[in-house]
Amino acid sequence: MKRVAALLAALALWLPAQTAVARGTPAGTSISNQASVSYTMETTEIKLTSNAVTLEVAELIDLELVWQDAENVVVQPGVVDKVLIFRLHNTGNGQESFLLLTDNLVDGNQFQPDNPRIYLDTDGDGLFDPALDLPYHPESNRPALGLDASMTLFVLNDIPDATLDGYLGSSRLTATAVTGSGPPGTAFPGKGDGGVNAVIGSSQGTSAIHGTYQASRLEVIATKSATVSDPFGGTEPVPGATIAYRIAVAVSGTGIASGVGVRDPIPDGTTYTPNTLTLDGTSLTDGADDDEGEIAAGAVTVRLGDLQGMTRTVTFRVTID
Amino acid sequence: MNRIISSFLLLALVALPGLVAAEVEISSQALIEVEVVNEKGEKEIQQIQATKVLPGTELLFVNSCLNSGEKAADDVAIHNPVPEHMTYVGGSAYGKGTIITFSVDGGQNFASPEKLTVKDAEGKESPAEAKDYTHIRWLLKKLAPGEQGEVGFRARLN
Repeated sequence: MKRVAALLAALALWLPAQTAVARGTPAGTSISNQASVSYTMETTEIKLTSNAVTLEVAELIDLELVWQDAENVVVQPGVVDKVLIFRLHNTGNGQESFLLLTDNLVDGNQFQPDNPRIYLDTDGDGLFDPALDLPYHPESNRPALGLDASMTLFVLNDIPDATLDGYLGSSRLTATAVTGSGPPGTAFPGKGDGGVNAVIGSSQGTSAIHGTYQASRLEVIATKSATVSDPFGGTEPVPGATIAYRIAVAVSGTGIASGVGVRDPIPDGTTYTPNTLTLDGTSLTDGADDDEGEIAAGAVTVRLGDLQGMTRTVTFRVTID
Repeated sequence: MNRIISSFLLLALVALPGLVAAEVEISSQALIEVEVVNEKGEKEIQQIQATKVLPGTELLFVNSCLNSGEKAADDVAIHNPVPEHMTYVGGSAYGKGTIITFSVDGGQNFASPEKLTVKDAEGKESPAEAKDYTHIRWLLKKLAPGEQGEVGFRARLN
């Protein structure tokens, strides 16, 4: 019994302190040590060698899974096949295969991503391509990685219709070494590369990480209003009357509406009043130059750029012919 | 004629270790230190023979030299290369009454740590570190008949 305890203690003590650093010496490597001694005995110089001590490098099972997207993946409610990108790294010192599993019951989820599926980055370009990247099947294509090798994995989910704006939903991916998992130091005799012992490292032979979607009900609403002033101080749309148009573009919800623009044709039977185009109260020139707007081809065009949670207002006037 | 001489030399070389083995012997061990709890419930460090090792493991290499003959062995030099895939643990070499020096050039030259230098890719010289050591040498003036000397060092598996 004492012997077993000592052996277990030995295994635990063998474990190096650092994590997630690729191990240098491959499992199965044979290491030999031999000393030599030389001396003089009554003027005769003699040299001899010691016995050779041979050590076998055991396999350390370690892995690390990392979520690769730089930030939450913005998704619209109701969309399907939204991709989260992960990377699996074999940080052990041998060849290892890994079992993969998804789980969307993640603490803090405001919505549950639906229908999780795992794909392997078969063509190795780091981007999901449904024509090239194969779905993961636990029986037939477990990722197999050599020492210090890594590969990209994709988790696809559908986003439920009813998801509210700004809600977060995570999907967890777990990778587990096929040889085994357990507390650091757990040994699997003979299960390592070439029949050496395999020992579980600080990762415990398993790694789990979640990626997060952020729902966005991004809305861009343009509201146009018109105010008529006739030459007689009234509001009748008679020839010579001025119509002041006001277009308010409001962006709401999570995320950024990029490249928003307004294009409004000058109504038939009216003429644009020169130098009346404004954006947020600031005058814009009528010509096509380096400001945000112009009057061209019978229409008012204003480029509003990338908008997030704000309203921008365009005004201009026309005269009724 | 040349050929005959070299055959003689070869025979002599092969025969020597056999002849002297009875006078001075050197044996080498690789040990791992493990913490165990003894019968009194106290933690103690035990050294066990290492056979299977994991990367990051620190090993203790011990060389014992015994003079079992009737004559003294003079100018005893024990050499041990730092094993492949391993890194010498700084300050770990020991050997009572020995002068310990190290080599950073595959055992060509030996010097004390403060005198060892290495050159980088651009030829710039800098003080050698423990990781640069390739060989260790222990020098002992005399090993008297019946005397046993022990030298050792620690190295970590990369």
